[in-house]
Amino acid sequence: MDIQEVLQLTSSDRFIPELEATDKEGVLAEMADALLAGSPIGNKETILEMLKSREALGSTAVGPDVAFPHGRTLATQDLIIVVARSSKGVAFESVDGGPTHLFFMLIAPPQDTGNQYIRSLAILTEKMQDDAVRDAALQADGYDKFCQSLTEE
Amino acid sequence: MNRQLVLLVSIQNLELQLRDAQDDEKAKELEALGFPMDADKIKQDIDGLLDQVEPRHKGYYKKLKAKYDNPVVPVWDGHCTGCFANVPTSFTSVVHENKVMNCESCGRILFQP
Repeated sequence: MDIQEVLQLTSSDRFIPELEATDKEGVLAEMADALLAGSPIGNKETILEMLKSREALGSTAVGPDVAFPHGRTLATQDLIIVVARSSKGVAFESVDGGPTHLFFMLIAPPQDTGNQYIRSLAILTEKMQDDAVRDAALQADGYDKFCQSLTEE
Repeated sequence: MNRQLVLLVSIQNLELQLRDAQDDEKAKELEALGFPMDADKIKQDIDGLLDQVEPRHKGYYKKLKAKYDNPVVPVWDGHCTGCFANVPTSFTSVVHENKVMNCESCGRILFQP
């Protein structure tokens, strides 16, 4: 699995270039809305409960500027990724204490072939450790350029 | 969705998280990425949610849990995803009536994802 395959799990409809939300709960809710749009998942409440439970184990804002809210749910049959950005930044209880600007939400099914869920998380967290890639992803103008910023060597 | 059903689905989602936390390989991978896995905390969260479930649903859930790993399952394409039996078309109206419904074949608790 590589970054190209990871990006196939998201789409322009699941890319929020500028979040309206200004707090952690709002970010999760806004991203859950993008997840539900055009998907067979119709219930936001159980998705949010799942994400909040995961956050309660420890914040998923592990990278500088970046958070990866994630978890498994009965409500999906496929791994889905939603991406969002906030130029102002949001307090997401990050490990370094700073505001979070970039969010990758991974919603995984109960079973996933080839351990796609954890591999995707690993690929994205590794990519986001690179300052240049992260800055390019934060500044990319539109979804296509955002994807390009992650795939360019 | 019925609040009781939200609780039951959330408990089952936590069971999925617990399964990963108890899988040494997966737990180590997640922790190496910076995402803490704490099986005891997840078990506490499950108990906390179970305490909010009405006794009649809680008793039935526990009975199912003793029998199945997945006592709560989604309905996909008109089928119970626990036993793959057809779910009657009336399921949709039951969902709208905000009730908790069981599979007529296996008894699992059903929800519309």
